[in-house]
Amino acid sequence: MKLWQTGGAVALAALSLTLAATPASAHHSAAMFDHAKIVTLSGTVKEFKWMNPHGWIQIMAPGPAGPATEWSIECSSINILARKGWSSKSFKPGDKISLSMHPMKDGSAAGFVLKVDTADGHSLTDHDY
Amino acid sequence: MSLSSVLAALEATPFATAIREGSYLFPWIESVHVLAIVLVVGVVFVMDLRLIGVTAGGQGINRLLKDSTPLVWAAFVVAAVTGFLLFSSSATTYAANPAFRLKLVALAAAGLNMALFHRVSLKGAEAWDNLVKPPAQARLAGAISMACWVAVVASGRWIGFLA
Repeated sequence: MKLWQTGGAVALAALSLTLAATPASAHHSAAMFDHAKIVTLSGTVKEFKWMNPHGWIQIMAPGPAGPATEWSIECSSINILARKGWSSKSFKPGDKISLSMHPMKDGSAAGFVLKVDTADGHSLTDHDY
Repeated sequence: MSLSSVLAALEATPFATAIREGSYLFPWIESVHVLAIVLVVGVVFVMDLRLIGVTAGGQGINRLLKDSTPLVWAAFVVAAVTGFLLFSSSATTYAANPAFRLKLVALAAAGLNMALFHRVSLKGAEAWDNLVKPPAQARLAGAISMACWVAVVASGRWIGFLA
């Protein structure tokens, strides 16, 4: 093994351990939705994350934590959303929207978006459409 | 400058933003990343299975190492560059993802195992170059390597389930 290869392996090990030492925060699973159920949420957009590998709508609506529960609603990838007519400007914080989604099987405040109706009367569709 | 501010700055770079918010870069880079990993792990397994004594008993170990190592490193560079680009798109989030951290630890373990094997175990390897079943330390290095790479792939896939 050449010196640069050893150096590379050691540098990789050092970088790995450095990154591994930073503190973690809580994350929910994105893979456990109940596809037999459809739940409708009406509320206010807190944040619209236009990002890969998939977008998120953070919406304040009634839920498990009371009338102003923050829900994390998972959308498709940017490629798919763009082809369905969505854009980074589809929603902004404060927008009143109504959306349908497949909820988490464990009852936590998250879901898999199917369709969103905006306050000005147009609809955006995602999964299952 | 703290690590978190470095990660935030990385995430804000134009290329990271383009990968995060565009239609094509993320899926293309991700596909190349997966193909490069397939090449790395596939070729590493050929070598590891020879070391363990399962396959390719007719091939000399040093000859197989000379043939496979450049291919592994070339594919690894592609995997590392594409992996870094995917990481950059949401650097702060991925850095906090437990599966991502486990992947880095498994990568580090695979790298240390490889470095130790090449530096220590391979000394005097001429004596067992043609043995179908090499000495225990070489077989152990092969087994550890396979376990590490399975962990790298599994934890890498798991990143998406904890996003």
